[in-house]
Amino acid sequence: MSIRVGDVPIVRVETFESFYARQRRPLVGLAYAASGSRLGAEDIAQDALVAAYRDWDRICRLEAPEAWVRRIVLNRATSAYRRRLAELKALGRLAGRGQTGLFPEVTGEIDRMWAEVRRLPRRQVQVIALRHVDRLTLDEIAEVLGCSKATVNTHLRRARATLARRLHLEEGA
Amino acid sequence: MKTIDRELDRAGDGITTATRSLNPRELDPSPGWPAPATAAVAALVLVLIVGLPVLLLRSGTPDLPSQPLAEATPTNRADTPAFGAPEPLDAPAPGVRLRADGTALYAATSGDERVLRSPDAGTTWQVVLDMGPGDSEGLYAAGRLVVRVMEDDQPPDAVTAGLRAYVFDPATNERREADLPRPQDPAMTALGPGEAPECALGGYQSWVLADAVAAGERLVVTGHHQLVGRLADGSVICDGQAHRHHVWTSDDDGRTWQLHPGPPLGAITWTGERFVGWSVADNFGAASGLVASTDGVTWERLADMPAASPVASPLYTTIEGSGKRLVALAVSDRSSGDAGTEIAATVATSTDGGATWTWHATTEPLTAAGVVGETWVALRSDLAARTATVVASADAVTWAPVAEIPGLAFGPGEFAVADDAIYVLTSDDAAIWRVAAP
Repeated sequence: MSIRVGDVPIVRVETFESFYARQRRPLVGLAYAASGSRLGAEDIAQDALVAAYRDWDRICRLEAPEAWVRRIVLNRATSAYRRRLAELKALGRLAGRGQTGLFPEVTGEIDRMWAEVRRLPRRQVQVIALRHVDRLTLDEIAEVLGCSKATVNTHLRRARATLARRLHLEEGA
Repeated sequence: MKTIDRELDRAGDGITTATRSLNPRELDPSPGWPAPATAAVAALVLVLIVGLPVLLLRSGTPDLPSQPLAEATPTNRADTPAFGAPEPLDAPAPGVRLRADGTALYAATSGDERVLRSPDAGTTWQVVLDMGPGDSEGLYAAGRLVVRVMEDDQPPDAVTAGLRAYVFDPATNERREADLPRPQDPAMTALGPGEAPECALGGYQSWVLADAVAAGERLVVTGHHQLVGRLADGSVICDGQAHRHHVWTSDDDGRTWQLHPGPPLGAITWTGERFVGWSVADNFGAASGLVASTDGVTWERLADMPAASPVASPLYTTIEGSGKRLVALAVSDRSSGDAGTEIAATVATSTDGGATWTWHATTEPLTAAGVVGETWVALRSDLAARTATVVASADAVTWAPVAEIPGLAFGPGEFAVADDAIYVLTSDDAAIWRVAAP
C-alpha cells in the first residue's frame, strides 16, 4: 500500500509472515461463516493464503492485499464443488487426529443464524459475512467483491429483510 | 424486540470468538502448510521510504510452503515404459488448473484470474487472458483453442446473468468474449424477493452452470440450468428441485453461440471424428454411462456403467485421449470420519475412438487419467499421506508407479497429459511438476 504526504511517497510493505499472522484466523472465520464447513474452512483459507504467498511480491504491492485474499476465500467458500474438494483435502490432513483441527464448535443459536444466512443467494452470504464477521464498511466490502457500494447496499438490505422475515426479527435501521 | 442487525453482529462475534481457540500448532502438520509467524513478528512491519523506489521486504520464511524437491526419483518397473523423474517447473504464478493440448500447457492462476500458456513444456509462459480476481473454474484446452467459461453470478436483479465464454486462439493471438444465450423459463415466472420464504433461492429465476468444453468441428460447452420460479398453477420450484441440461455450440470459434437442449453430460472430448462424453446419473433413474455425438447436440448412448461399479453417482468425471485411445474415469468419495476418506474410481477404455468401451474394476484411488502413446496413465492420490503417484498401465487393470510426486494432487485440473510429458499440479503449494514421457 502506498500513500503520499505532500510530495513524499510513503510506502508500507508487509512481510508475508506478518500478513499471515494477522489474516489467518479472520480468514478461517470468514470461510466458516460462508461455507458452514467445520472440516473445510481451514483448507479454504489455506488455499487463499498459499496463493498470496506464492505471488507475494506482487500481492503485497496491491492497495489492499486483505481484500484480494478475502475475495478468493469467499469465492471458494460459496462454491459447492470447491468446498467439497477442500473437505476431501481436510479429511486426508486430519486422518487419525480425532476432532482436532476442525473449526471450533459454535453455540446452537449462532450456528442456526449462520445456517439461515447460508440459505441466501451467494452474493448476499458474502456481504453478510464481510459485514458481520469482518465488520467491514460498505466501501471495503465493495472493494473485496469488485462491485459498487450501491450494489453492496442492495445485497445487504435484501439479505437483512429476508433474514428478519424468516427469523421473525425486526429489520431495524 | 431483537433486530436482525444486532443478532447478526452477535453471530459474527460468535465466529470471531471461535477462531481465537484455533491452535496454530494443530494446523501445520502437513507439507505445504505455512506455519504461523511468531508473536514477535506478528506486528505489522512498517517501512517508510522517502524518495526511494518501493522496497520489498522478504524476511526469512523457514516454514513457508515447501518448494518442489528436485531430487525426487522415478520408480519405474520393468513392465512399464521408463518415464522421467519428476522435475519442478518454474511456475509463473500459483496455478489452480492445468490443461494440456498437444505440446502446449495451460495454467489458470489462483487469485487474479489469469490463463497462461507455455508452448515449450513450462520453460516460458505468456498470459493469454487476464481477468483480475475471480474464481478459477472452467479452464479448457479445446482443440486448438483455450476456453475459459465464467460461471453464472448473482447480481441483485430478479434474473441472474448468463454464462460468458472467453476464447483464445494461440495461432492467431485472437481473444474473444461472448455471452452464451441464457435459457429461458417460459412456463415460469420469477419470484419476487420474499415471495416464497421457503425457498433458499427466492427472488431469482434460475442459475446456469457450465460443466465441460470440447472443440472439434465446432466448439461445444455443456451445462445445466437450475430452475427457480412459480409455475402457472401457482406452485413454486426451487432449491434444486428441477434442472434442465443444455449444450451451447459455436461454429465461428466463439464469436457467436447457439443454445440447444441436451442430456445430463459430464466431461466431454473430441476424438477427431466425434464428441465422446460421460452421461451422468440423474434423479430420474438414468444410470451413468458413455455417449457420443457428431454434432455436439444429438447424443447416442454407447455404454452403461456396470451396476457393480462403486461409482454410481460420480463426484466428477474425466475423459482424455486422442485419436483411437481414450480413457474415461468416474470418481466418487466416501468419507469415513477419522480414518480419512476413500476414493472410489471406475475406469473405461477405448481403442477404437470411442465406438466400443471396456470397463475396468479397480481398487486404486485414481483421481485423474490420460493416455501417453500406447500406455494408460493415471494419478493415484493418497489423501492421508498428502502425496500423489503417477501410475501407468498397459491394460488399465494393473497399475505400476512411475513417478512419486512430493505433494498432494487431486482430480481434474491437477493432472494434464501432453504429447511428451505428464504435468502434475500439487495443491498444497501450487507447484507444477513435469514427468517426461518415454
